[in-house]
Amino acid sequence: MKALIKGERGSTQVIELVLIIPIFVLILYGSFEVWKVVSVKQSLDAAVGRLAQCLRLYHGGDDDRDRCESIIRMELGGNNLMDGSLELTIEYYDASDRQIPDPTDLSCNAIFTVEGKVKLPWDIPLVSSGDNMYLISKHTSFIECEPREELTP
Amino acid sequence: MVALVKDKRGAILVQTMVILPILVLVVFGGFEVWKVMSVKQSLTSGTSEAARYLSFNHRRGSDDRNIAEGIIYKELSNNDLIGNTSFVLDIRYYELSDDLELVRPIPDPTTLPCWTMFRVEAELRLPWTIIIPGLSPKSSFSITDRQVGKTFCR
Repeated sequence: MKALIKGERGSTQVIELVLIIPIFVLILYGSFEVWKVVSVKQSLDAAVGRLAQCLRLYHGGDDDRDRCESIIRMELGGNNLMDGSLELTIEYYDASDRQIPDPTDLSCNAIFTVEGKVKLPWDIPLVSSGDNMYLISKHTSFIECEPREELTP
Repeated sequence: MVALVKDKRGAILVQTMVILPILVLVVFGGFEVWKVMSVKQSLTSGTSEAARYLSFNHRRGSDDRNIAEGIIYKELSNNDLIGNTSFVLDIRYYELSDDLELVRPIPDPTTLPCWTMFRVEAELRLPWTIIIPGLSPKSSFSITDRQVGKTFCR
């Protein structure tokens, strides 16, 4: 304390360190949080893209939607950051942005959008107050059927 | 002069003042790169869906081209980084040979005969200004994606 008051060289460096270390800890911690969120967002984007792709090709059977939805759950479940507790909502929209229950009911070549919404299983201090931090990803595709054009003989 | 050289007080503070702007620049630069990559991914996804749609749907005189272009717009709107803004998108079509050589630009791939290769090229002008230190702000930065399709017939 005496050294501090007298402003000795060693004490000045301690004060500088005390001021700077929290900034660097904050930067490091912030980077780690950003990386975690980006990682889950990337998994969600990939999963929703694959779900749209699956529904584009498979839309004939009764359980095609459920089978395709299992892809998104597997993809997100494969991300270790998701902690096993997956709160996921999947919604479908038609070309006019009206919500539809099942895109496999649409006719050939109809446009549809898949929206996947996942809740982050952890809190981000100063950003998410409580438990309401969600990530959303959307993909648009179409119901692919046979080629339409007849070949001219 | 010798005393000034030997005086180590405030060295960490000076170092921090030098490093902090670089760190901030790296963080914001990284964020800017991530934004562009995210939009590019949406553009690629939309263009590839449009090329696939046109490969299967190319009836002459139909609305198929507009529907395919609508897919690209919709896929870009799905990305929150660009979806809430008005963006300029230029879509061009080219006829390709079987060796994927460029034959000619075409106004509409639905006019092509069966089993012809074509290319969809979408150029998006980013709706935000990219500032690169040392250079003047670039407001007309655009990203392009090209996808190949083939007019499949029954």
